[in-house]
Amino acid sequence: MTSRASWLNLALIRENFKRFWPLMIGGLAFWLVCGPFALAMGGYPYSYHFMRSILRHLNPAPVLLNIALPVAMAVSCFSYLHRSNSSGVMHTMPFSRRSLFVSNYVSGLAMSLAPVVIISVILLFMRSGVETLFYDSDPVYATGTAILRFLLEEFTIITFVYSVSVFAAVISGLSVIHTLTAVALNFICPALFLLMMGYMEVYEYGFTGGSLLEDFAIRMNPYLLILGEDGFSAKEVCFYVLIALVITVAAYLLYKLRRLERAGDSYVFSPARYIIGFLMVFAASSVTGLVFQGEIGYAAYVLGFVVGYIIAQMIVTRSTKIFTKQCLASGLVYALVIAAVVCVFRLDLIGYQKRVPDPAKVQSVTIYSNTFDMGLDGVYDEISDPANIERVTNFHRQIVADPANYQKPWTSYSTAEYGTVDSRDTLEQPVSLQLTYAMKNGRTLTRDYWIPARMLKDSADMRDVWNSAENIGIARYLAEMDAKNLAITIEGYNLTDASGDQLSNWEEFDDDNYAIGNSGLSDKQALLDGLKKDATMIDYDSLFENTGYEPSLSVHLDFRMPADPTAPEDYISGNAWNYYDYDGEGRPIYKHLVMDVNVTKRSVNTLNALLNMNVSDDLKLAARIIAGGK
Amino acid sequence: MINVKGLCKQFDGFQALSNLNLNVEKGSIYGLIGVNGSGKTTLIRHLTGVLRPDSGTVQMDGQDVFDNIGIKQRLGYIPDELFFFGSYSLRSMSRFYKGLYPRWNEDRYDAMVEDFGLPERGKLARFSKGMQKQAQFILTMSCMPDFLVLDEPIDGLDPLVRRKVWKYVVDDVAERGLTVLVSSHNLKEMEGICDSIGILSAGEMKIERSLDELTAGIHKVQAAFHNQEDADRAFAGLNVVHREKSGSIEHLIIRGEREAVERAVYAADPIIFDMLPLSLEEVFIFEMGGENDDIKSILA
Repeated sequence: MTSRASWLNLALIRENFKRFWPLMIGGLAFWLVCGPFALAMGGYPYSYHFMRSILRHLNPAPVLLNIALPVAMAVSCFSYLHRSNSSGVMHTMPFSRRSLFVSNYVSGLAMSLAPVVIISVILLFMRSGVETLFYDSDPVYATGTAILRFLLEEFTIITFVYSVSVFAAVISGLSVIHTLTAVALNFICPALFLLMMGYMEVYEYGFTGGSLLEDFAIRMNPYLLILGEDGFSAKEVCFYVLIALVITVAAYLLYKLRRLERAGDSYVFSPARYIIGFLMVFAASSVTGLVFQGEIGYAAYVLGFVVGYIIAQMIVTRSTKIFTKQCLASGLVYALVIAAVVCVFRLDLIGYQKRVPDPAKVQSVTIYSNTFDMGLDGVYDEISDPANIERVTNFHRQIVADPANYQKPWTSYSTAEYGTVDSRDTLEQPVSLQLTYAMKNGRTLTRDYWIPARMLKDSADMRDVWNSAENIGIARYLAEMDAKNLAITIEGYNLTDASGDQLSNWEEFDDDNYAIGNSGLSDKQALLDGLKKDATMIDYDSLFENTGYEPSLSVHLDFRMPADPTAPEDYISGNAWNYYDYDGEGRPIYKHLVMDVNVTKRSVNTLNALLNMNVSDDLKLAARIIAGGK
Repeated sequence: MINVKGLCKQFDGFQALSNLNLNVEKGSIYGLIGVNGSGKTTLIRHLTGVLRPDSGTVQMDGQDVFDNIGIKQRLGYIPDELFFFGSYSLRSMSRFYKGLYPRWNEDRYDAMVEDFGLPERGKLARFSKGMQKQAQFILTMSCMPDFLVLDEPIDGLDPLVRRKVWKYVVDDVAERGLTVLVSSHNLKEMEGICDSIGILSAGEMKIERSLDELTAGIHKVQAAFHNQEDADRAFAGLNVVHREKSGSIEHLIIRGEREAVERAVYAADPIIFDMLPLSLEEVFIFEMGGENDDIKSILA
């Protein structure tokens, strides 16, 4: 049972199961209540939704259990390390450090995984009862493959969380500190990433982190990845399991080096004490600084630093004597590192702000302006002509050449500063401009600026891009549409009737041709024709005529066309986007082309069409208001 | 045998053990004594393989103890601070030990449980400190160890149980050649069972010798003479390590052979002469104390 060469000690594993089975059974009971019991008690569509919520990790209760149970297991199985008497007795018994570590690791992991394995088996048996329902609604989840996929994802998450928690056990000297460290270390990478994004957001003009959050932050931890919609790819499963393995090996090596006499200290390795102390101070200082810098300047960092330092030193030293020479020396180092980090971003030592790509290395660039108020919404599309790319990079260089162009905080342009309509008409108003370069090496470079509207209007380069043959904008997509199978939804902005009441949403047209009849179809065709004509008439200067606060309508078009089930799905984004409808077998049957078109007083043909159509009085009133009458 | 050579251990800059040497003969009982903070527990944690030496070696039967499962299977340890799994009874702990120690002796376990009269099914956590110590003793002795390390083993035990405990230990030493190292502050009991003694001071082994050598070679003497010249003549050739006078009575501590001291004193025709060997406790106080008050307490 016990041999000199063995990695596992079966007696210890058996004992761990005897001691900690209530945790495992508690976890299983939790899963049963959330899953099979609920499934057994509910009929359709209740059963379907429950099955789906389990398999897609949508039920928050078991999702929380995915972190609570592995952490609790690691804390229980390695609790002997955190008291002087128990660590002494356990290490006097005939175990090698290797067999102690591996046996405790394996038993804790097995007990953490057991509930989901059992649940998966139960779900496989219950599957037949809800198979048909699943087949109708969502074929992917009707099969045993989906359950096995769920099991694999759970295995990945639990193994990762548990391995990190065991690592925390080895470096910590108290069970309370172990628990807190286990939770913190599990989220340390995404948290640091978010802090870095915070610094970029505040100090690096042009930075936009929206997609980074989705692409990187939640992928730094399998626990967070389940919050996404795609689930795990095979590559991700391998990656996370490999990382968990590396963490486990690191924990094992540290375990062999662990000085047992340090049981009772917060952290048993001196470097861990300094690193964790620094991370706490860095987090406190950064969060306070980034949030309150606007109000109290750099003092916000100092304030956060002082609070963080006091708390961190008390925790890592387990003492209130935190102003010793040693503590103050480490505090000084922390302060220097944090100051260096702030300087790196504040002074743009990484050269982020000035970086403009070499046009020769750019495959295409997408220009997006979120200045709906200025009437620029959706005027550009993806640009791939080398001449246009060079024009865009020229304009980009012009922006970054003078920080005054883009370093004004955009909040200073808030409407509160422009008290009257007249003052809001100025071309000094900001417009947002997002440039997304698709590089030839497959990478993407994105910058997001707020610049004065006049800068864009006066740019010969951007004017040339607008007037180039490549920029056919929304007209290209409108040309693909006809009134049949077209659903139209209209929304109004800045529209008030004579009594001052706000006119807002209409849902005048849908794609049910039979219900609307011939007259409905002709109205839709007339509106579409108006939109098509107006789309070809927009010139560059007219883009800047919109005050930003004039009345307008947003026309949402959703055009459905038959899809070729054998062709690969093709998605576009930007001024227009698309999605698919599927049959029961999961094959695409319809492709939808969707876009929003802004209707202002310059959309003469569209407004005329609206006024001549058989639509509601409110919508006609809106058209008159936009056209300039009341 | 247990053999420690040149053992050093430092904690955060504090030298807990310094070039420490220790030898325990097979089939003997070694008493480890020292003042609080002298390094006894640190030494024991090295002997039981809990701590890794900074330098030096800790061996049993010629093998390093640290991370050595083979040695640990032959090693029994009763710590001062006991540890049992929460909610475990003596019976369930015995099953755990049985799975770990290949020489586990179930018959001995049953006999000892009956002898000590402990409830097998009750939770160990609810036992008194003395009962927990007995339970640990039963578990440890049922493993049939070749080496036994005891840290304050009789602390909290009543005299009857103490006697029983020592009987088991001494019997195993005699019958199986068990090698025992015991650390205790109860020097009177140590004096009764130990074959040799090591006195630890500030992380160093100050004295290590057999109990007989330790106590037989040093005496406390009370004597009175007709005049001061006789007194000075009586002690002139002896190794007097401490001397003081109270009225006409001389109080001395003298190292040397008992016969030689008696010969020298009787030659000066004493009016009063009384000589006793120092007890282990008095040796310890004399060696460790060094202050007049401590020595007066020995001579009183």
